[in-house]
Amino acid sequence: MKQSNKRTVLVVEDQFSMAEALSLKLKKSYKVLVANDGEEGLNIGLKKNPDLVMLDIMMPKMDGLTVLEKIREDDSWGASVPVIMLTNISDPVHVAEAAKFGVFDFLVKTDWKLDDVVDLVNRRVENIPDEEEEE
Amino acid sequence: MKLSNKIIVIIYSSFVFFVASIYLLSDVIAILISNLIVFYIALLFIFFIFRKHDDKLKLLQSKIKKMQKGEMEEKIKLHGKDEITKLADSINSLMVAIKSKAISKASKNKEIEAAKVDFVSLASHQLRTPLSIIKWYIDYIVSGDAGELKTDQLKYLRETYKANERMIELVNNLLIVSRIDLGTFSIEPKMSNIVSLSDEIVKKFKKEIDSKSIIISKEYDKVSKINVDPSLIKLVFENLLTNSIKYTPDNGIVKISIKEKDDHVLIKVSDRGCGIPEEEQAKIFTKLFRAENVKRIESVGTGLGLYIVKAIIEKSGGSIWFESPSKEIFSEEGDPNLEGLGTTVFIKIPLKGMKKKGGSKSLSV
Repeated sequence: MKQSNKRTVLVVEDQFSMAEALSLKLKKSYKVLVANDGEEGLNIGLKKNPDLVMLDIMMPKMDGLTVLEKIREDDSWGASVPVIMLTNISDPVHVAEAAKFGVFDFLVKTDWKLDDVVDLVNRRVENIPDEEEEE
Repeated sequence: MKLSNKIIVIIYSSFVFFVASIYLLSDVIAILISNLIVFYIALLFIFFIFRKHDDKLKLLQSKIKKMQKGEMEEKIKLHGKDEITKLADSINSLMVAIKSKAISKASKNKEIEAAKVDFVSLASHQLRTPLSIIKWYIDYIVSGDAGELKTDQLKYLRETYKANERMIELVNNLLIVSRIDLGTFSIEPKMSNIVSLSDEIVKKFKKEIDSKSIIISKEYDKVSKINVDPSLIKLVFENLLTNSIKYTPDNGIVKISIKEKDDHVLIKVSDRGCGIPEEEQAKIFTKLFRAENVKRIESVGTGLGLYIVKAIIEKSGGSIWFESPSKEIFSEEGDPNLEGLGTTVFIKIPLKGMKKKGGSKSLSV
């Protein structure tokens, strides 16, 4: 059960300032949770079941692609939660790995303006069916 | 049997024949006949021994020739205890030693290559991270979310943003060049329309084109779809148009021509820039090279664009060359004062397209 009407976005990003810039912008429309490493991100995700997850790849403790794999193993929430990969590595190997888990939003941070990232989050969240409708 | 032992056997047998013939036939003819027989038998012996040795030597010679070509898979198989067989054994041991040394050198080279690839990946990540932080914070501040800004402050931040964008471009280009040089980039051909790819990039540069009131003159023929990697072709157009727009003065013309000719598609991108000085034309596709005249016009530039374009075109079976001053642009504008100016870059892409190439990285960073 959500505490407020705002949707929740989990930002998993080891660079504090990067996560800060993004959450400052997202906070206007969303409840934002921030994790600074992969392991923390996975734990928060499984516990709080956010509506959308933004995942960096190169992170301490657990890399983003492993976090994604483990998220997808969770049948109740993780299997269908929308995920946006937010990275500075753009190897086809990583893109293909993310696609394997149904993630096609693979954003290279230097190529994306902050406003455009927020727009994409808005579009993905709009596509999430309402919980009440589901029931 | 050793050669020396065989000769002793021959001499001994001739002596036995000689004594026997004296004993049996006491006249001179008998001695002569027996000597003749002994002589022929000895000759036959010597012939067989030398033929056997000659075969072994020929085999050795052919194996050594193969070794020179690097073929060291097969061992030399000789039997016996003679010197040639011993020599063959020594060559076999030498082959094993060379092979193991070559394998260790190859695995060392492989390790070095892997370390280089890892370094490029890591460097790109480490360099891009602070650049993306700067980009997003400026985005955030300029949007006014952090509080209202004075006009001057906004202007300075926008300049900082532009400088950061140039730095991102440099890092991206260096990353592309590293992938080209390391050969780790992939080519993923798809049936593509070259004209649409060109238009896509023209659209991408709309802001820059409009800000200089540049006219883009398009001369497109109906060309067949060809099997090329669209991301690579877009990278080619991006680099060519960046140069053309940068060096063409305000209100100038940039001409893009795409035609199908025989077995290829010919792309021509002509600008009305300052041209390439004759004495520097040979270096124009060299990595990090920027001509003296463009450095005076525009101090910012990486000198990597044409190197990247040439590498992409040549590694995918096409060819590239240029003409400066450009006859194309002169005939387009018809102004005699323009003579000596402008550059046309010509690119030929074969209709059979690009060959697929596996690789761990894409060039579109």
